[in-house]
Amino acid sequence: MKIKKELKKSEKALAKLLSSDDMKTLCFPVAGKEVMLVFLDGLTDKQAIGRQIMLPVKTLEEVSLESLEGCILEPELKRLSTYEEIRQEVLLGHTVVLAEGLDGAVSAAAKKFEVRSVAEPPTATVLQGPREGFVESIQTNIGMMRRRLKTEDLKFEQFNVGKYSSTAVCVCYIDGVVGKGLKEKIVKKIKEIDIDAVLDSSYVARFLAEHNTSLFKQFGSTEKPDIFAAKILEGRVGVLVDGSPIAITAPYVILEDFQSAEDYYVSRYRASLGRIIRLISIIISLLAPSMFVAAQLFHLQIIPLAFLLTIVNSIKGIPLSPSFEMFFTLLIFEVLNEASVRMPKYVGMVVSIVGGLVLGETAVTAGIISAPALMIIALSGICLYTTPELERQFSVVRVIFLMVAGAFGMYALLLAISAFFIYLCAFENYGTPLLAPYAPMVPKDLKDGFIRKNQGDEVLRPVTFKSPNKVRMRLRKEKKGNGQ
Amino acid sequence: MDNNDNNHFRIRNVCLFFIAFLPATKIFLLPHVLARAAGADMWISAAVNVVLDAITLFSAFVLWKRYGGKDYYEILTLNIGKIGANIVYAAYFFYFFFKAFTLVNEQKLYVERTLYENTANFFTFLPFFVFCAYLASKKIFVLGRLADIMFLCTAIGLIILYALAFSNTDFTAVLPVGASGAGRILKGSFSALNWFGDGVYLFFLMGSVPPEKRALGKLLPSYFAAGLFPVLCMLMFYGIFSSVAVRQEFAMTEIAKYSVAINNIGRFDYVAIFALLFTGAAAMSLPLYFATECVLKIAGIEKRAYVAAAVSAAMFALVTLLREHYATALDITVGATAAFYLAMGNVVPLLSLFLKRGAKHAEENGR
Repeated sequence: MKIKKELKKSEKALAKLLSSDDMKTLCFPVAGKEVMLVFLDGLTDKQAIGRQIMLPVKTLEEVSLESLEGCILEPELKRLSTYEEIRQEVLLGHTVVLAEGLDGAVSAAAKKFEVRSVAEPPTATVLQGPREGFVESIQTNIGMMRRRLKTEDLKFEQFNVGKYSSTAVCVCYIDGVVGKGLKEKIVKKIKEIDIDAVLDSSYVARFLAEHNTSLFKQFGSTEKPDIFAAKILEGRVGVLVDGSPIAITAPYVILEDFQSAEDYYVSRYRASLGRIIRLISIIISLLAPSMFVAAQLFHLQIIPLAFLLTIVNSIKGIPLSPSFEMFFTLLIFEVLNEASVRMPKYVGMVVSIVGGLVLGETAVTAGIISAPALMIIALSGICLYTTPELERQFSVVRVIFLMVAGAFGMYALLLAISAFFIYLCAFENYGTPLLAPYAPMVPKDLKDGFIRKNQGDEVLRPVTFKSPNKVRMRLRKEKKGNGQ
Repeated sequence: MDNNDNNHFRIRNVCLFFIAFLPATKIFLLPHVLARAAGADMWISAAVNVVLDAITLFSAFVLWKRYGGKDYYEILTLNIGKIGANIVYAAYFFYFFFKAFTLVNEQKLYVERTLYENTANFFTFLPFFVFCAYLASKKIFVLGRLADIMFLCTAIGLIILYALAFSNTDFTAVLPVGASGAGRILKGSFSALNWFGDGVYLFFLMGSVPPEKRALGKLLPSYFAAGLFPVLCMLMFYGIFSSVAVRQEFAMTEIAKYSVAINNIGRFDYVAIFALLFTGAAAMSLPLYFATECVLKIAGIEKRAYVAAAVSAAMFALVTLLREHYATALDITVGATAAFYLAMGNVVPLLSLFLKRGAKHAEENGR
């Protein structure tokens, strides 16, 4: 509905559209005309409203949209023509200025709300490298990105998503570097989102996913702007969501969860060692419980004799079958895990003591579970946390493997692993294979694989992400004779 | 074609496919079969089969080059019409299905007698058929990606196994070369036809492999590298067991178990055996995969998963029905039906060299 020239009518119309106690209106005379400010309490900076809007407006000799725009001391101004636009701006925390006799309004972004200050993200602490993390404010996050990539090619396309939340969702990419057609696909999917509210980036990720029933995630996520920038520079698209410190990136490859931020700030040898340790940890974590159960139940011949005697001694008198014992121990571990995550920090210590000492030690002493089973589950649990991003998916796979091994033994377990690989090999998101650059093998991209080459060798962008701009580094060699 | 297109086989994929899957099927029961037929010269029989398959592979390569990456079914249709193509594909369906029957039975026997010697039951091997159906339900590019990962497992598994067995091998046991006589060597090759015939796979992959330069230079060496493993296995198998080799049923578990390392640290060879079983499961499923492919082409069905499930279920039914008659089935496989395997695995591919109709047209389009 178009803005009426009569201020009373506008006031009535806005009262209907924004009937809430925290909506404030403030009227004052300027040059013989009534001027009205509309804003939301709690989202606006009242000092800024007084200093940057009211004071200059009061000095006007003639009230018009042009003069209002000219005098308000705010850089972010917008002219509005409908009540719906006013509602939208007010809900975003802006202050709208209306005046008697004007069929338009001016919105000024004098907003202020409490946000968490930039700090090191708890999920990605590093010994070396930047410690900044994204926060809940999308503007701050965009600023952090701009500070890192000072180029006009860094583009942000913003959309408001959510019927009730109208959350700002920002698609971020580098023009000319982003993979062909990728940005368009993601923008199209964001535009198609029809949901009550977007409260976190994971809401958006669910809509952007190409396979809704997939066990594996289809988006990379990070809290660190340096990682986000690095991914964007590879030709991927990033999505920032207001209210969420977790940024998502697409396409996703599983290798990225084995790469830590620190890998790029330490020597290639240390980085490679770290990645291989993470890979071995995941293998141990997934297979140790199931292989132990399968070996105990069906294939005693594969256990070395000395180890077999140790196992036999420790399981003597255990009332549970090997598979049930392992399930039981795993269940205890998962319960403790859930409890320690959800419990307030000050009782977390209690959970550790009760879980580690009382439950574990006592269960072994009481002869309910055996020490090897407890040790294997503990090892498996710790190993899984070397790649925290994969913890949720792989803990499900671990249970499946354990069930298969307990029911059918080692051969079925091998088949399950093989089937798991087939699943992973067939899996793609936005045309990118999940297991790239290993399956399909992309030799050029292996430079940043489990064995990391020198950063100086990564001259080209990863082929996997299909960036049209292939070169990311040019090594300038000094001409002969120039150097001293 | 886009160079970044991941949904095709590259020549590299095919090379790794050979190394990943071809040796894994030939080290279970085949050494026993060959020892029975060719004695000390069993390795020559295997080598003859490798050469025969190389010729098949070369035929496939010529056809692939001639038609610029066209599907084999399409090529057949162009030359002998749709009905003719369907007949050839139906024959190949039976070829793959019965090839799979021997391999699946062999795997079943191995699993029941070696891995579950005390606890084998009806359900022990059941998951294999579910696995087969699952693999067969996937598109062909998945095989290429699997090969990219699994070739490492096969290579590592075989290297560990051979390294463990090496110290116990007396290579002089196979001397003098050719002592068994040409007749026994050829009989050995004839008996082993069901396990070989791997060059045929390229006919069914060729539609997914876009043209590439210097392909033969990559294909043949990798094929011979893959063929070297089984030949080496035969040599070592006879070198270790000599005249009692005939009594050893499964070479894979037997050849390394007398290693000194195993005496010290337990059955370390199981690491290699499990690695080979891991890739072997996919390798044993390949004939069923291509049998599914044949049905899909003949019937023109889009729903791959249903056909895959049906083919695997049929195999399960056959294996279950004949579970008491495996020895007879094996005798038929290495005896009377071997001629059928020779025809489909080696002769028909060779005859395919005469397919030329539409080739020029395809070549022009390719340009």
